[in-house]
Amino acid sequence: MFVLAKVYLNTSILIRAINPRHPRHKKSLEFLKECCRKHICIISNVHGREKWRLETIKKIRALLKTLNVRKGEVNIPQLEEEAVKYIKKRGLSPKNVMDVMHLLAARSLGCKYIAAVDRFIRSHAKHFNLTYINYYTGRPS
Amino acid sequence: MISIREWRRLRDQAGILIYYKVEAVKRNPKLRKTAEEIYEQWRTGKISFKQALKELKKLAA
Repeated sequence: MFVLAKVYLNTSILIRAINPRHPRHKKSLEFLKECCRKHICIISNVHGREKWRLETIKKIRALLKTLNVRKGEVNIPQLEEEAVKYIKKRGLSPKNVMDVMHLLAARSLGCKYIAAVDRFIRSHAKHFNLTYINYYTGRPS
Repeated sequence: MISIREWRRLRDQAGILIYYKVEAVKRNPKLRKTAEEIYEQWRTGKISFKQALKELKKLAA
């Protein structure tokens, strides 16, 4: 039986896809289009906790609508607490709290994959039972 | 258009502020609303990162 994979879209790949000046813009966009056509792609309310300019919000919203991306809701205060616990336990920088929140959100929304272009996400995804994917690794089959 | 560098800078700042917000709430759960307001003020551009950090550190101390 064919089962659709649930893919969490991290901001790092979305930002590349909306910025035509980025050298990997085309690759990011093509990857996202293919991924969202063949799988269930999700973002969460953690994305809304980031600081973006109005122009960026508009572009991201338009992109997500085009790609038919779903939005999952997670408990933000609980996630923030868990993220801080995680970085303290591993002696990581507080700068990484937002990345850990995305990893926690992906896990809590039942995703198997996290699409990102980020070293931190890549090295920590396995701790959250997530597979790191992007235009270098390819999408899930 | 936002650059990757700018997005990373803002993401790192968000992480630092959330860290102190959680620390402040852990110290005193009654501070949750105040800490959240400071974070939102930074997120919506009403106050600078430096100012938000200073206020959250004070709450967490």
